[in-house]
Amino acid sequence: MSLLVLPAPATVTMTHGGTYANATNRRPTIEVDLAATSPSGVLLGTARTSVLIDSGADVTMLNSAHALTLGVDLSVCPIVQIGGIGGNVSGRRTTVKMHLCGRWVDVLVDFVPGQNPQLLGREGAFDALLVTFAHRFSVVFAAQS
Amino acid sequence: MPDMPPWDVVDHLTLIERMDHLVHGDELDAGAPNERDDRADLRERSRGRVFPVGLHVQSLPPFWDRNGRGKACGRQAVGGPGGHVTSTHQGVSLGAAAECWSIRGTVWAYTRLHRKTSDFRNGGTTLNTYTSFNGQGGGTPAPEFGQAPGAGATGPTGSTGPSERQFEPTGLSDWLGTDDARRLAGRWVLLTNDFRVIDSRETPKELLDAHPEERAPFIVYVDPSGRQQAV
Repeated sequence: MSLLVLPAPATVTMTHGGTYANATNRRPTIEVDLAATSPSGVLLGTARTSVLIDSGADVTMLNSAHALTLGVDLSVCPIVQIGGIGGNVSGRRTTVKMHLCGRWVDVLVDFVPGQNPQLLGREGAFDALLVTFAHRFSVVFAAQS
Repeated sequence: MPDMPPWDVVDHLTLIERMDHLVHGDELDAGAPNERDDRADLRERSRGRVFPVGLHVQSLPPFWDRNGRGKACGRQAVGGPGGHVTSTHQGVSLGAAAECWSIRGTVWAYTRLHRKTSDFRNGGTTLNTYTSFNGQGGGTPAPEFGQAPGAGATGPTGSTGPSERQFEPTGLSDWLGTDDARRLAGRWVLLTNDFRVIDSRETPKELLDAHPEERAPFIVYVDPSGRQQAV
C-alpha cells in the first residue's frame, strides 16, 4: 500500500482525546473500562486497566490477572498460540466488553499470564474506532467508527 | 436473612488454602504451557484478599432464590478461576468443589460438598454439577466452544464469551423484549429480581458506585444490537 494524495482534504470529527506524554517511552497508552457479561448481558465483573494502542496487534492482549476481577473463567476459554516480536506465548481467548468512545464494544481478548504491556489490538476495537495520533505532541484522538 | 444455600462456607484461611490447592494442585489440566504462571499470579492475587464470608447469604447473586435453589447457577459456574471446573472434569474427589467468582471486584468463594460424585466420576461437567444442584438431575453436557471466524493471524481463532456454560435468570429474555429494555439500549441496568428497573447508567461502575447498598446487584447490559441470548 502506498499513501496517495487525496483528491480533497478529508475532515473527520474526533470526539475523544488524551495525552500520553507521561507514558513510558511516550507509548500511546490509554485507560479503558472492561466488563464481562453472560451471553444475555448479565454483568459478571468489571475492571479498569491501561492498554497500549497497538495497530500491529491482531487481537487485544491483557494480563490474565484481570480475568479474575472480570469474572471470566479462563479454564473454559480456548487456548491460543500468539506469535509476536518477542516470541510465542499461549493465551486464553474470549470476548469482553470495552468502553470505547462512549459505547460498549465486544472486543476479542487473549488473556496471557504476565502480559506487559497490555495491548489494544485491532479485532473488535479498531473496528469500532477512528484513531489519529499526533505523536509529536503525544496526543491521541479517537471517535466512534 | 434468607436460608443458607446448600453450600458450606469456609473461613478465609481454609478458602485460601483450598483455592491454592485447586489452582496449583495436580488435578488441574495441563492447560497452556504458561498457565503455571497464571496460577501463580492468581495465588498472589488471592493472598491477603479479604473474603467477606460473613456476608455470604445477603450477597448471593440473584440467581439463587431464598431457599438456595438456583433459578440459575451458571454464573457461579463460570465466575471463578476454574478450580471447580478442573476438579469436576477430572473426577477427582476433593471432598468439595470450590467455587468462587467476583462481584464488584471482591472475590467471593464457597465450597460445595460433592452430593453427586457420580456426576464427576462419569465425566460430568460443570454444567452437570449445577443442574444437579438445581435438583434437576444429571443435566446435559456443556456445549463445546466453537471456532469463530476472523480474529488474529497469529494463532487459531476461537471466540467465546466468558460464560457460555451459563444459565440465566428465568424471565430475563422476556424483560429484554419489553419497551423498558428497548428504551435502555446501550446502557447498564440495575434490576430487581423480578425485573423492575432500579437505575441505569452508562457504565456498570457508575451503577455500582451509585448503589453501594446493593449487595447482590443484578446488572444487565442491554445490547442495542439485540444479540443477547437470554433463555
